[in-house]
Order: sequence, then C-alpha cells, then structure tokens
Amino acid sequence: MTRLNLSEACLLEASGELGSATRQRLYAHMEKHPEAQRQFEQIKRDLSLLRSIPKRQMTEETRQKLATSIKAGIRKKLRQIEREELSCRRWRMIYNSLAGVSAVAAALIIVAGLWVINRSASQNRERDRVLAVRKAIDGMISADRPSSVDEALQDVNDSIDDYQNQTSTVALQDKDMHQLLSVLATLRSERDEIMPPPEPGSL
Amino acid sequence: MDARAIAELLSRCQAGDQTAWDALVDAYWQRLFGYALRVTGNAELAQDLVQETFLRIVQRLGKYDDQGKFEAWLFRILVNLVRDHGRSRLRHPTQSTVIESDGERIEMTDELAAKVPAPHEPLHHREDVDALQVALRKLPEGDRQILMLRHFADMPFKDIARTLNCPIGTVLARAHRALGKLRSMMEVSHDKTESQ
Repeated sequence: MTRLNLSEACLLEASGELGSATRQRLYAHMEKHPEAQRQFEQIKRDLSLLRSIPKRQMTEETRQKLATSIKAGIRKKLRQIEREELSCRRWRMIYNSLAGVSAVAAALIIVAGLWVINRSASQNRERDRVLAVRKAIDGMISADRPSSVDEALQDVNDSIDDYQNQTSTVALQDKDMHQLLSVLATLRSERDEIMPPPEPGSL
Repeated sequence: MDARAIAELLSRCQAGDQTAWDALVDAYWQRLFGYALRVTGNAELAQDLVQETFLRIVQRLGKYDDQGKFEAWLFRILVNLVRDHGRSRLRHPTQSTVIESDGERIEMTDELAAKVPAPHEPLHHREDVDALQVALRKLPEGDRQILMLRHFADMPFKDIARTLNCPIGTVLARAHRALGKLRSMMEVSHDKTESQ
C-alpha cells in the first residue's frame, strides 16, 4: 500500500484509478479544504486537456484488415525464424562433421609423424650400433695385424733358418753358436705360445 | 481483460494453442499500435514494432512466469523497441497514416477524441490540436512517455509504473509535472493567438 500525497490522489481520482476507501478520504479532505478542491479541479482539467489530443480512428473494416495483417506478419516472421534456425542447425551439423573429420585427420597425421620420428630414431640407433660394431671389429683386426717388431723377429727367424740350413755341420760344432741357436729357438717357441702366428689368408 | 483471463490465455499459448495466440493479439494490438503510431508517427513502422513485440513474446513465453504483470511486460518490450529503433529517426519522423499490406491500402484518420474543455475553452480549432501536439513533443522524453502511455495506450498509472520499472509515486509526480507544463505551454500559445 503506497501512501499518496494530495496531488497524487487527485491525479489517480481524475484518471479513475483511485480505490473507494482512499476516494472517500480524498472527498472528505476536499470538503474541509477548498484549496484541495481547486487543486483537484485543476488536475481534472489538465488531464482533460491531454485526453483532447485526437487518437487515430479506424473503421471496423480497417481494424479487421490491420489485425489480420499484424497476425499474418507475426506468422510470417515466425516461419522465417524457424527456417533460419533450421538452416543454422544444418550448418552447425556440417561444421561439426567437418571439425570431426579434421580432428581425425589431424590425429592420424600426428600418429604418422610420431611413427616416422620413432622409426628414424631407431634407424639412427641401429646405424650407431652397426658403426660401433664395425669400429670394434676394425679395432680387433688392427690389434691382430703383425707389428713391425713381429716382422723384424720373423725376418731374424727366417735368417736363422737359412743360416742353419747353409751351415749345418760347422755351425753345430761351434759351441757358442749352438748355444745361441738354442736360445733363439726357445725365444721363438715362447713367442709362438704367447702369440700364435697368423693363419694364411687371414687379415 | 482481467488477470485470470490473461493467465488462462497465456497458459494456452504456452501449450501452443493457435487460437489463444490470435485472442492475445486481438486483446492488445490496438493499444500497442495506438502508442507506437503516436510515438513514431508512421503507421507502417508502428505495425512492424507491434509485430516485433508479439514476436518477442512468442519467443520468451516459454520461460515467462505470469504474476499478473503481463501487460506491463508487453508494453515494456514495445517501449524498449521504440527507444531502440533510434531516437534520431523519431526526432524527424516520417508522418504516415497509410499502411501498404499485401497490395492492400489501410488508411487512418485523426478525429477529435472528445469534446472536453481546454485550459479556458473547448478545443474546437485544428490549430489548438496542433499546438497541443507540439507542446507534447516539447516535453522531456520521460514525462512525454508517461502521458503517451496513459492516453494513447489507455494504460493505468499503476501499469505505467510497472512498465517503466519505477515507483508509482515517481510516475504520478512526473505526470503531474508534465500536465502542468502542457497547460502552461497551451496558455502561452493561447496568449499569442489572442494578441495576434
């Protein structure tokens, strides 16, 4: 319940909107206060002035036509909105499908990329391993090759053998020479024990 | 139409009853159109705005919870649409009382609403009516809106307060002030006419 002042109550009464209880109080107040009565009359005249502004008048036929036109317009717009929503839904579906296909394609590309990277890495590892093995083999091969010392010893060996063949009797009678040859033979047999001579045809 | 009848109509509309829609449009279109026509001064634009108002009602009615404020809601939509339509256009409206619809021509005419007294004498002359309309246009927008809703939309002050979302006391105070200004402007206009 809103408490009204005099002008508000007068305006509502002149407008025909005042409740009966408040109206009774207003008229009782105006009976006692002529100034309030004058104010009420002024507000009534002001409102009448507003009401004197003409409204557009329509014949019954015009009214019917306009009502029909408005309803038809509303239905037309509703149909248009429905069509637009349908079209929008269709586009959204197409968009979602394309997005799905794109996502699957992207996922495939990523998987393929990862596979290629993985494969390349494993190939690199394999190549490194082969290189390491080859290097190890090379190292072993170079370790098995006769050194210059071995070759020198072999030369000495060969020379001794030649010498023994050439001077068999004289040399064997020489005591010192015999001792030297036995030392060399021991040396050779010891070397062969430690380092067996390479087989023919090997590196 | 009383609140109960409106509530029943609205629930039928929410259920998709087409005849209820027609009844709802029939119940309100004239008041909406009267207000829109007076504010815009253009019958075709007024018709569009009324259609748009009902269209928004259709779209939002599913979520609408009726608490006896349907009329205020309806007019609030229209008032906002009129405002949004562009004040610059409304300042220089295209006056037209003709609507072309599906090849048909609908025409409206002005009529002196009632033989009621002006400040001092009845409004018999066309000049008085013109002067009054000019005076109305000179009022501040908020004040003019209240008077127009009261007169052209036949809306009670209580509903105007709901429509504009402000207290009834504020609406009454502004209406009282606006009516006083209107009277003063008309008195000045009368004095000028008499001195000529």
